[in-house]
Amino acid sequence: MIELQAARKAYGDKVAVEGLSLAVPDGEIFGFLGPNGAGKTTTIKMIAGLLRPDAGRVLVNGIDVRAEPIRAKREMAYVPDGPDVYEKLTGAQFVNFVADAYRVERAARQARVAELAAAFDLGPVLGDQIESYSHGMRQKIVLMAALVHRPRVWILDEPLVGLDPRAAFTLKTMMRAHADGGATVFFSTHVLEVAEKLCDRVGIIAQGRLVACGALDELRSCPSESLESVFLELTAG
Amino acid sequence: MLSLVRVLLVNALSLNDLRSRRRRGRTLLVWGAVLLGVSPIVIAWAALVGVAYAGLGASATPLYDLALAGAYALAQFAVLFTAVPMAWGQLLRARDLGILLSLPLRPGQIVVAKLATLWVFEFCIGAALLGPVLFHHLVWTGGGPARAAMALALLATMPVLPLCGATLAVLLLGNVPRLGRSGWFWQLISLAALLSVWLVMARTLPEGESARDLADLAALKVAQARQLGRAAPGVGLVVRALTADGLAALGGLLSALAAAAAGVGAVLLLADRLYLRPVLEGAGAAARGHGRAEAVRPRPFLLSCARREIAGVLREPAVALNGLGGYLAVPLALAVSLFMSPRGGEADGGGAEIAQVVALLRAPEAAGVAPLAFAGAGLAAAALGALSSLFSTSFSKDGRRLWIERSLPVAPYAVFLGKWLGAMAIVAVAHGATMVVAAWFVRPPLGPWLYACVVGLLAIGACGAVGLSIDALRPKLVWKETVEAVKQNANVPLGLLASAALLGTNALLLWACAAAGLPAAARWLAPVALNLAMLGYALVLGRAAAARFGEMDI
Ligand SMILES: Nc1ncnc2c1ncn2[C@@H]1O[C@H](COP(=O)(O)OP(=O)(O)OP(=O)(O)O)[C@@H](O)[C@H]1O
Ligand SMILES: [Mg+2]
Repeated sequence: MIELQAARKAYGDKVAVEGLSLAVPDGEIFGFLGPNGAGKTTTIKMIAGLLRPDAGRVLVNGIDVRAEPIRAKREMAYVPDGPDVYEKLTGAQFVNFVADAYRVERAARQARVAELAAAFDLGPVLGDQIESYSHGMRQKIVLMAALVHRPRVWILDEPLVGLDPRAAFTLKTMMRAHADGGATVFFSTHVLEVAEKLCDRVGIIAQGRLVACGALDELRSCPSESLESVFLELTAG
Repeated sequence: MLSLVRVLLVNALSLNDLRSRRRRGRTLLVWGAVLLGVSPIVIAWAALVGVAYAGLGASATPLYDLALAGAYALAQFAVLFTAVPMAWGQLLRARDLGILLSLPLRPGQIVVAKLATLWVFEFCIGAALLGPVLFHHLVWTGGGPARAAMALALLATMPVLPLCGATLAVLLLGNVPRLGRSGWFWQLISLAALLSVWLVMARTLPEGESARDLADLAALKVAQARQLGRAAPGVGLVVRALTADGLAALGGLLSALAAAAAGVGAVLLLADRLYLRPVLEGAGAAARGHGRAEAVRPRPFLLSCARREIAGVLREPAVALNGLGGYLAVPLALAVSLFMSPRGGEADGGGAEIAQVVALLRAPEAAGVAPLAFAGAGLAAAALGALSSLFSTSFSKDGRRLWIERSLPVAPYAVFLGKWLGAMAIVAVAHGATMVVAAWFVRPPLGPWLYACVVGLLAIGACGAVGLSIDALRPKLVWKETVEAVKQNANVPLGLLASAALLGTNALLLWACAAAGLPAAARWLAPVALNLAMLGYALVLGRAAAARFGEMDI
């Protein structure tokens, strides 16, 4: 459950997000779409507690991210748009570091690491320094670390960029299973086909304002209209 | 080929800054300052050489050959010392191999171009050191134009051999990292090993011709020249070339040139194996440690964070060397001074003198001075750690990865303490090692030694917490390479200032204790109390700084 109430964020004079209100209930995959520079990353960073909203509130599972950041962060997994990680740690060390922060028990951790390493095909390189990873492998290790504590709420900023087709498929399957298990997935993407196939609802943001939000069928003016033409129409100008 | 050398030189000297109007002023200023700083030294050296030759010329048996040998060896050592860091920069740090290898150049050309670039720098050093000597040598021994030409040729080739030696050493050391993940550790070990081999050689050589058997000073000097000849290759040949006549001189010259050519040949031969092939085979990063994945083992976050900090520092040689430079510089300076001291035993003699002072401190009459002396010694040693940049760049080093700590469900203060602990652990090990070495030289009583260690560590802890707070308040997060976060970070000088202030407060306290005539017990306690209080206060400050850090938009 994610709730944004009239959230606003400006960088100096430049208003990046304005009056953004939006609720993502449990059991839903929510796709966040918008042109470059529309404010997707800014919104996601506000949810993850990396940016303070200038006005408005952000609630995750009913917890105000600003007022109780630590409790709110326990509930979620955040994957940023670029996989900047500690290059000098090995993959396993990095995942363990994150798991320590979430206080994941040994047995649970062991099982989860094995499961995720198999899913993302990272097992053989976990002992290597992240410095030697490719871009996609870094993306995978960030995903692994984010999911190691079995968070309820997933917040992913363009998570599919750089993943190979198999890993992308795995992640999409995991997102579906997670939402079907009654949890929340919030992710941004530029790939409309993915959004179309995967999301229960989508939100489209343009120039910092939410211009559309709802199930795909609600956004289409006629059943045959593609999400692409909806997107182009709504974000024109 | 020549254009490659030109490009490398332009790059190394940032000559392009001269073209852009905006930067020209600053660049010229820097060059001017460097020239202004160096030229008096060069002029003084030239004058000194002139005076020395005048003295030599006046003596009954002028030892021109000896002076020449000494100067030549000195210049070669100077080149060797300066060439090691330069070769490291030009060969290993410059990440231009990717581009160079993709150009239609033969591998040998790349290596020769890099050597030539280094040679230009080293020739300047050599000309400054050896030039005046050669000039006076020619003047006083009355050489003709032929000999002058030979001298010029020798001046130009002088840097070649040490340069090749330095290059080979750098390439060998650069290949060591593949032994293990913490490559810099091995580099240090091999450096220390080289240094000790050299020291041992330097110290055992004179004993071969026991000084007592040498009848007079001249004989001693000749022996020393022979020793120099062994330490600096080619000296004998050069002396022959410039003092003998006719064919013998020509032979000396040709052999010297051949030796230089052989050096370049050796570098060329090995460079392909040690330098270019590893890159072509993709072993450049040295990061692919085929270690087993770390066992899953939960730890308290504080320890986990400290461990991460330690790994981040130790696996980044530039950061580690920057942060621990003080601790490395002192033993190095000590070793060099040992080598440079004309009598091998002098340094030990110095140690004996210090030991006498320590013995005096043990005497009952010194009860009042001892605590202050030991606290002072501990604090002086602590300055090495307190001035370390490990603390004042810790948050900056995270750079674009700051999102990790910020998105984790941990209090910012926990991150702060974890970083502080990690940096403290590293510094404490270096500090402990330094204190042990110091104890070996000075042989203080155990109790006061421990006391000095504790006072020093408390002071380092306080200074570190202040430095870390500064970095939490204004981290420099935008950089391309980690070194930038450490080297071009205003927090480092700020941290230095704060540490200097804290250490200054300590010095004031010691002075006040001495002036106020406190009882001995109070004198022992006062420095501990002060540093404990400062540490406590610094950690409280850190809490506020960390809270600000937790609110920062990233
Ligand atoms: N650190 C910053 N300082 C100033 N302006 C910023 C900063 N970060 C983002 N912006 C501005 O805020 C606006 C929203 O940026 P944001 O990164 O949220 O876009 P986005 O929707 O994620 O774009 P993309 O699809 O390219 O990832 C943009 O106009 C951008 O220029
Ligand atoms: Mg974005």
